[in-house]
Amino acid sequence: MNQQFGEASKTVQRLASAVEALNQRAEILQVPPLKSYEWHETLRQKLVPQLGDHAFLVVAVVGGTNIGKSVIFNHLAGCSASSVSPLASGTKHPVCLVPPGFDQKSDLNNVFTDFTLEAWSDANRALAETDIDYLFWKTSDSTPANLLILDTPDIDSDAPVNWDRADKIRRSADVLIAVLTQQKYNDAAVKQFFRKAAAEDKAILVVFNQCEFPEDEEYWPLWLEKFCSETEVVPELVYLAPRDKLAAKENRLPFQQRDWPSGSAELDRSPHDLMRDLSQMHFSEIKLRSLRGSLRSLLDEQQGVPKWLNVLSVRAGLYRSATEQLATNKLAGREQWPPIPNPLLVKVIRAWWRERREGWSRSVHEFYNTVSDSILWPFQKMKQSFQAPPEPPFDAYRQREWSAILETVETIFERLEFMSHTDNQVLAERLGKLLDGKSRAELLRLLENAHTNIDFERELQELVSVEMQRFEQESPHSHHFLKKLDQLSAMVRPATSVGLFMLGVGPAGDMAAQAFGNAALGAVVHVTGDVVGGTAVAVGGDAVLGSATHKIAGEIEIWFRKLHALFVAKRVTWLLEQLQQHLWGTFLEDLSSGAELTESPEYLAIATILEELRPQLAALDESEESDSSAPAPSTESGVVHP
Amino acid sequence: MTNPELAQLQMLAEIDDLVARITRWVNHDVPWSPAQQCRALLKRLLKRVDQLRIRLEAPLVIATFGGTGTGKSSLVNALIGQEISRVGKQRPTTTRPILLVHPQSEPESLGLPLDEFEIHRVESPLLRDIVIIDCPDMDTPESESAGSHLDVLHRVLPLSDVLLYVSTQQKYRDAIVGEELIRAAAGCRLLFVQSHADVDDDVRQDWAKRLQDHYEVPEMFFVDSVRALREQQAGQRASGDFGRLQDLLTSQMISSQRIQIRRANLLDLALESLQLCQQKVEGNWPQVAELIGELKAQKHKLCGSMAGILRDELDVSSNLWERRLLSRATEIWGFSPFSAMLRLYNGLGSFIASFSFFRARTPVQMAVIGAIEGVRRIKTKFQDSEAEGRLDRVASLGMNDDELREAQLVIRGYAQSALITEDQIPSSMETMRTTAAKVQDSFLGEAGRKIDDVIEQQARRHTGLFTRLFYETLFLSYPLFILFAIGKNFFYDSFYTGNKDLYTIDFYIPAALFLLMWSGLWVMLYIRRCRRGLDRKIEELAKTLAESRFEGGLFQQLEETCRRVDLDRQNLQSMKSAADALRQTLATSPSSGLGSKSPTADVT
Repeated sequence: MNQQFGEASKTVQRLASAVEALNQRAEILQVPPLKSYEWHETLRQKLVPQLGDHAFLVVAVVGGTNIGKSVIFNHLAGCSASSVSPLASGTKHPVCLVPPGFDQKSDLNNVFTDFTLEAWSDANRALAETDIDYLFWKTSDSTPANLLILDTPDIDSDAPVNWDRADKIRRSADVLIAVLTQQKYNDAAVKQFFRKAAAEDKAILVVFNQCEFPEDEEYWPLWLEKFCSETEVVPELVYLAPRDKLAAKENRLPFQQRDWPSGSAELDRSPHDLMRDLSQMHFSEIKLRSLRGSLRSLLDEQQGVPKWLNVLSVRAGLYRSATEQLATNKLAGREQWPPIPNPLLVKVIRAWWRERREGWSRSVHEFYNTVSDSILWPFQKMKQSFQAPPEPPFDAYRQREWSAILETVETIFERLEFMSHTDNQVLAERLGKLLDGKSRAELLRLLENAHTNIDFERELQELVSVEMQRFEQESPHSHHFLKKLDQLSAMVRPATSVGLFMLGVGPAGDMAAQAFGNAALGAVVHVTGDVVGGTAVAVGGDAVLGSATHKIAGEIEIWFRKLHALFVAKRVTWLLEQLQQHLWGTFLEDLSSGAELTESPEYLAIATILEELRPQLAALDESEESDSSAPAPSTESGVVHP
Repeated sequence: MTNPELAQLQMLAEIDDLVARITRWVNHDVPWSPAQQCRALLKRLLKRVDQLRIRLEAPLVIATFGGTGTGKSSLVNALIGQEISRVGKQRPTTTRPILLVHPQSEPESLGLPLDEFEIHRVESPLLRDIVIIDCPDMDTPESESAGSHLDVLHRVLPLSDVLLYVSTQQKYRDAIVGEELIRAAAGCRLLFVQSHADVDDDVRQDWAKRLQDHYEVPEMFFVDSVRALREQQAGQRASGDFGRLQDLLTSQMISSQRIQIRRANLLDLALESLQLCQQKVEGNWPQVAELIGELKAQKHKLCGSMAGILRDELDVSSNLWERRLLSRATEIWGFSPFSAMLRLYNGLGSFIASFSFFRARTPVQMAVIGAIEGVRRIKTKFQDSEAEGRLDRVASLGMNDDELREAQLVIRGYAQSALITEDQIPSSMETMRTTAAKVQDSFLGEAGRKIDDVIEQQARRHTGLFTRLFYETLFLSYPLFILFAIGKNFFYDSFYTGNKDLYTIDFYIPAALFLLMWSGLWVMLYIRRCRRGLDRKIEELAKTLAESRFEGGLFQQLEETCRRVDLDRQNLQSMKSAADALRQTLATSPSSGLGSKSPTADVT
């Protein structure tokens, strides 16, 4: 049996650390803290400390406020270890009687992990109101060697901290001495407490205190029957104690045992010594029972770890659906993104081309461009003085792109609003923070700042240079064709420039010449640009290109279209980055990591451990059956009473 | 009538008034969810008030309250001196409330749901003025399922006027009982009784200490019901605390006290509800205040930018100014040679302008042309091309789609945190544009009126009698001189003396030319004079427009809602302080020995 305990103990230790690991990951899911789960507290307070080291039995006196718990405890202690007061809710901290030599075998700190342990010095210390959960321990010679006996705070007064401490002791305990009275045996708080204890399979001794003899003799079986049917407690032993203030004060309250459930006629009125009765209990059997009970509640589908896993997976599902709703590629629409105007694109391509002209063609073009620029300079000046300064070429585009950004942001906010209104109460708080007016204004401000600082020309230039080089490599034919065309135009350049100028067209003529000089490339690009834009078919397109070059034109067109798409993609990416930085922060990552929780190794590990633990519990169940049929080993039950 | 009676009547009238105010407040809906929740709460209160009204004159209802086994039924039996309510050792003993009435009273008049009760008619002196309900406990049931005795208890307790809270040494700090008391005590007078005096220690002091945070605790009674019943059955008067409790019940619960007790209960109930409402409203108010601030800032920004654009436009279209100013000045001037000259020039100028780009093109320029005319033209012009025209028009005052969208996005966020129902904000861009156009129209209308004022003022300033005389004289001096010269030449030199010839065309052409130049000179001088100070006026105008408390905004409905929410909140506040004041008055009136829930108690 010890071996089985050992195995289960190891598994439980692993489970405890796996739960901690998963819990850290699960923090993102905003589930209730582990502390609020009964199974977790049982795991920490009962199974982890006691599965490995089960050489002692924890006995706790529990019950409602002001019904004489401390009186009964003092009876066990044989002295006034716990203070008794006529006022309710007196005991605030548990007091523990420790057998001599206990600290050589086990460490009390490991048994009561959630308490601050202090050596007992004075009965009144347990009455002090503090936030720290103290446990006062006192070595008592009258305590059997492997018993720990505790007095606990109440479970029903207006001080919830008392209930909490009583609950902690309840989980650690193997044996509960349930103190009941005529007034309290059917109270909701009392019933709830003992129902949990019964579910954990604790051994329970019932003491009806403050009985009035002889009339209560007829009532106590009724009370007990009600109590047992409501809580499913099966008491091991039942005692009655009379209402006798003086006896209670002098610590000589007589406890009379009653038979239950037979309620038999055997009326042994001689007072029992509870401590003696306790020491004669089958320790190992009780210990095994309570450990198994705790293990069973740990594995319970409705209340145990599986339930927690289920809660996590439901929550993760919620996050998954939120992630799907907020899939960013759906939100930032490429469709409504404005394309860069063709003239701007063409201009940038031309500038790039000009840079890359080589040799003869380069010098011819450059010479004529310089000449025409200097001739045209005064005319341009004049034109400028007449008209308002021209708008920077990219400003109109910037404006349109800003509209697209605003539309995207609006869509996102609409989606978030919808989410915060419908499901997802969990995310409501974070969503509320994203959606509040101040953060919206701040987001718009940041986006606008970033947006006005963008140099579109440079962005476009970068894209063009990268893509032109790729174009050169991928479609050498088309590139070669363009180059030839350009050289051809350089060849005819003197004729066109000089000819037009001589004809008296003057500056206008030169403009035309220059236009023609750049026309070769320009025309090709324009034609494709127009095709892409779908606005019009360039009138001279076919004439310039010739029918033989259709294939090349097609290639260029595809490339041109790609350029547009690439630019839009670049801009959308920019927006997504900005949104990530200024709007989402860690929100989307949190969502997706929450959504993936159920596939995480931590989650799967716990499921595996649970699978291991189930057969181990079954083995313990079997061993108990065989154990109970065998006589109790004398070493473990019954310790010499001084 | 004596003075105390009058004061009592006045008090009652004031409570009635408070209830009427609450009723009005509840019936006036405001689209703000915290306020709506408060209304739901106060509606429940008003329902209880109605129940109280029905049985204002009926005997007081006294209900026992306490955990199981504390001796509620024993106490009731002892109070009436007979064993009517079952007393037992099995918990819970009483599961159905027991109603004890005097044989002569009519339980139907009490407004109680009689089928919930087990009714006993008992001949007891105590029951002459009151009825007693022996209630079941609240600490054995673990859930409040329909029909459970906790459910029945929750329905019966609000109907009682006085709670007789019974507890014991074991139970006086019970958590469940404490919670139920907080819930039940509002609107009830309280009496505190520790029972089982025969066996328990006296814990009244500690108990009172626990209670005083939430309740006003009068004298508490420590009774032994069993002995008291025995004494009465033996024909004696009950002794000790029990006797005093009986005395209190007979002296304080007589019919003359009924109305006072019920009104005090009602007031407590109202005060607690109002307190809850106020907490709720005040808790959510900061977000609304933020929204109001943001709306104001938005409006201010809008106004400022519109005024800025207007100023630039006014600067640019100074020629329009001059024309209007001149025509107004000539109108004031009336008919005279110089004003005819001015009119001529102005007409000519307008005639030329109508061909050129000096024509009024933008709404702002139209506003400069003249408010009434301008607005009319804005209307007619834009009615034709409603959809696309609106966009241009809005853009001309610096409100493009993007800005409208931004404003809408941000305000939506604020409105959402303020919990103001969503339909207060225009959702589609189309509605936003229409609103923006309206805002702009009204802004321009306002601007047009101000411009009119400036022009009127300026025109009046430059058409004073002295100015008129000055310009008329100087202007006329030349034509008069010419006339004189011509007359002299004709009548004297040529006709009378005959030694000179008549002036020829050589004279008339230069003279006419000079006349033209002369009139031109004076018209120009006059225009220059009018222009003086106009720039400053424009600057001032723009400034006043930017700072003017411009009424319309992009989110008028929302603003209106905020105003209503604010008003609503103030009303609630004043009702609360009225209730507070009444409660103060009650607190200073002589004590009746009955306890109650403290008005400052936190209610959750």
